[in-house]
Amino acid sequence: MNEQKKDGLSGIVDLIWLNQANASFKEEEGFLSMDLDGTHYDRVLLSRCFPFDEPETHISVTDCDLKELGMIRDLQDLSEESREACRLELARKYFTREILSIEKIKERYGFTHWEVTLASGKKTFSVQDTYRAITKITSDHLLIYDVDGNVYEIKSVDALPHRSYRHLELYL
Amino acid sequence: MLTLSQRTEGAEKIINTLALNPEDIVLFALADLNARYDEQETVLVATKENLFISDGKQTKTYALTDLQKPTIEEKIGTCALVAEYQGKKRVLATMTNSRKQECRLFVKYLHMQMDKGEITVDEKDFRQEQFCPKCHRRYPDPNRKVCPDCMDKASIVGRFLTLAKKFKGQIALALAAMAITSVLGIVSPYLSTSFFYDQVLDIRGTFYGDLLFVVTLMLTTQIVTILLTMFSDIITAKVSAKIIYDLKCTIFDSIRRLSMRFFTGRQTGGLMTQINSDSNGIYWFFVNGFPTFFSSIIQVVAVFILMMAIDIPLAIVSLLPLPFYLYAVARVIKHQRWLHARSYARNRSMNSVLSDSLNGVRVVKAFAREKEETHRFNHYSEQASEMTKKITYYHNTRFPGLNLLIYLSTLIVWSVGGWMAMKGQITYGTLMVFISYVGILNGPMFSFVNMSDAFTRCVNGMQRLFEIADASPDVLESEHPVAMPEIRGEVEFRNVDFSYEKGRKTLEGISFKIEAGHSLGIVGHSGAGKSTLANLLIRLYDVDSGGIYIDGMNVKDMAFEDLRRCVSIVSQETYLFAGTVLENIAYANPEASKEDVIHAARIAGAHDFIMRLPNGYQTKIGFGYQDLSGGERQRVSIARAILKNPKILILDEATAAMDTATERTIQEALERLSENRTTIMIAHRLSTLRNADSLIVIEKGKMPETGTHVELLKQKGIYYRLYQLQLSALKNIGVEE
Repeated sequence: MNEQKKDGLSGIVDLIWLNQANASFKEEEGFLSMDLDGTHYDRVLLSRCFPFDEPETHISVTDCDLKELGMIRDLQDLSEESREACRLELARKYFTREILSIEKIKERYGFTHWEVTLASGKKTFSVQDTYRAITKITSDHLLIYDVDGNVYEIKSVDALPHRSYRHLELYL
Repeated sequence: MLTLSQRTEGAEKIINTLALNPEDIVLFALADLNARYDEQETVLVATKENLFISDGKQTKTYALTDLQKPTIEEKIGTCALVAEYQGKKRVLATMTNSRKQECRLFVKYLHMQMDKGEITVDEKDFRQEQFCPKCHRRYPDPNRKVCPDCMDKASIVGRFLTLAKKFKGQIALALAAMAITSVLGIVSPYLSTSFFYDQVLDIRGTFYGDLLFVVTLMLTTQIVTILLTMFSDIITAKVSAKIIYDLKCTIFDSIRRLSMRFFTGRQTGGLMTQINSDSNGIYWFFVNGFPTFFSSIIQVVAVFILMMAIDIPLAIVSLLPLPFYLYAVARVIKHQRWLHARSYARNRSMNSVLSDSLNGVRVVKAFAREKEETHRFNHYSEQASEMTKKITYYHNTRFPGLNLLIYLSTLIVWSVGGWMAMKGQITYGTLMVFISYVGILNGPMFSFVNMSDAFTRCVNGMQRLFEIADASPDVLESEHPVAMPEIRGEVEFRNVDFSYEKGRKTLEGISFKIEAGHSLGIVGHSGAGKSTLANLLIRLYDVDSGGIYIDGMNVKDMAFEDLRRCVSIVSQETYLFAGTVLENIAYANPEASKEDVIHAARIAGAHDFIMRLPNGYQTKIGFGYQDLSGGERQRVSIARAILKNPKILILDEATAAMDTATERTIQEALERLSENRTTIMIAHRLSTLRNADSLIVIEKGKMPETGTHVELLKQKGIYYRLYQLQLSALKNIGVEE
């Protein structure tokens, strides 16, 4: 169903808002499939418009050639089964590991070697050029990219244990 | 069996659960996520018949005969092994980026097994070792084969010293001067205390009453110290500057040799900072750090020997507080370094906000955001100033404490030494010389603590610079290049595959031929790989497979000089060097006459605007001088290429930044120019390419369509759709083709 408001900017663009009335999603063999107004798509891809601020709203749905098929305004607009399938797909795409505490950051020869605790246990990784590799989403929320391109997240710098904060402070 | 990942204990257990005959396993790799994206070791094992994927709890078996197109799909932070199985595409395994390379190789060799029934190991895949051969730990940066723990510092310093070899005479002189100065630094207090009191003032002294002698001696010592210090400082500064100059020349020469891939893998700004800051770090270590350290060592050793020689018990008492002092100094300096690093980071943030805001001043003003920008800057400025305050506070509170420690150790010498003097065990002069020496000993402690840090920074800097010097270009001239001073200009691409990054094909199976003197238009969406074709032809990069031929000769066999002389490229990225317009146009052909430059500029449509510049062809342009518009820059760049008079001309969006009227004028001139020379034109605007002898369409790295303008329109494929789109877009704005 095309939901088009004719006032403001929304009247200018053609955008299909996806909800449980027109779309359903399913997880099949590791892929997300979609049925939209009677058309079946074997595989669709999801992208968050605002991955940090709005993890469950404004989600773009594209085909494998990245042609946008529509947008989910809120996952709540979908049926429960679709919602869970989409959540799983989003978790796969935006795979990040949350750092709960930092045991040590050792700086050597242009690299920092991190020893951290994640929900899954202890982990070590190396970061090159902390200035670029640490992205501040807000002053409290950080993303850290290691040399392999893995992504780690600190959801709240303020909530870190004091010792962890002391290790990290130098790079903020 | 080809083992692509380390066979961990966990992996062995999982493999055992598969109950396979070890000899049947042909391929093994380890993924690190399970289907639910939980971290869990998952083994990928291939036999000649099957592919097994198991995390120990769940095992999936895929018959290789039913498996098609296995590939690695990249996501953000993770990858997936995807394949078609029994006609349906599915995700077989998932992994973090840490396992990406191993799994990518797994897929490559799995393909080999499926297609050929056997695996032939390609040594190139294993040449880029990921692990330190000594400690078997992973390199922190796969592009930089340096293990921080096993780095051979001695050999790096040794290599640096070979640069210093030609100055060995001057260095020996400087070191000798430093050694004498250090010793004189100890003699001076001896003369003014022990010698003065015991030998000159004391009636029993050898030089009793000879004040003039002792004062002259003291003055001479001082003058000699000053002269020698000046001498060694001048030599050190001169020699260090010369060594660093040599090092920078070596580095620049190496950079010049390196191929494009080296630069695209690094930020050019970062590279410049690296060369500058590293060489400055090395320079200051040798000008400042090392001489101070060297003098300190000599002083400490000499003072220690002298004190022991004069009075052993008092020497021991005097030296007792030193370890505590060293510890306190180390603590203070460590924290101070931390504070400075923090301050540096905050200042860097403040400066980047400042530069961001100033560079975007037009936008700031246009959107009336001055207040917000001021607020943003104030926030960072306040943080930086807070840090400066902390440093000053720390300095003002800790250093008086350190001074107190020095004073306490002096007090100990006063008390014990005073008591010994009263007992007549030592003279008053001896007491005074001990007090002076305790003061001298405290100074070098700072130098010792700072030294380790300065040395680490210096060695790291050397290592990084040598790394650039040692980097080998991946596009190499053939060992026996074929000289081709004259070419006809026939160009052929034969089944060319190329990727900027491993595993992500930018071009696949590209084949076409352009007869000498003919023109070819390349059409396609942004990012389709059009400009890459031009980069490959002039060997900024080398093809992964297939070949590129000029007059039937593989470009890899041609001499670089001939190849780049006969091919000229005008790219969408124009770069003008700081210099005059004349110098910029004549860059490609410095021998060209001024009239030729004018002709080239006229053909490129640059002459008219150049003549409007205040100093005509001698107007300074480039960074910091006269600003040219995008279209003007592009015209200068075209003139530069025309002046080179190449047999093969590549125009890569050469007229993109110009208005339609100017573009038409230049296009006509270029068409005249392209007679009798092979021309490759890359453009978005299809009208620009309509007259090309043939056209190819590049779409997602492949070449789905080829033909003339009319033929491609008849095919009603991608070209036709693009043409229709552009036509209607032009009609919409009232322009008729």
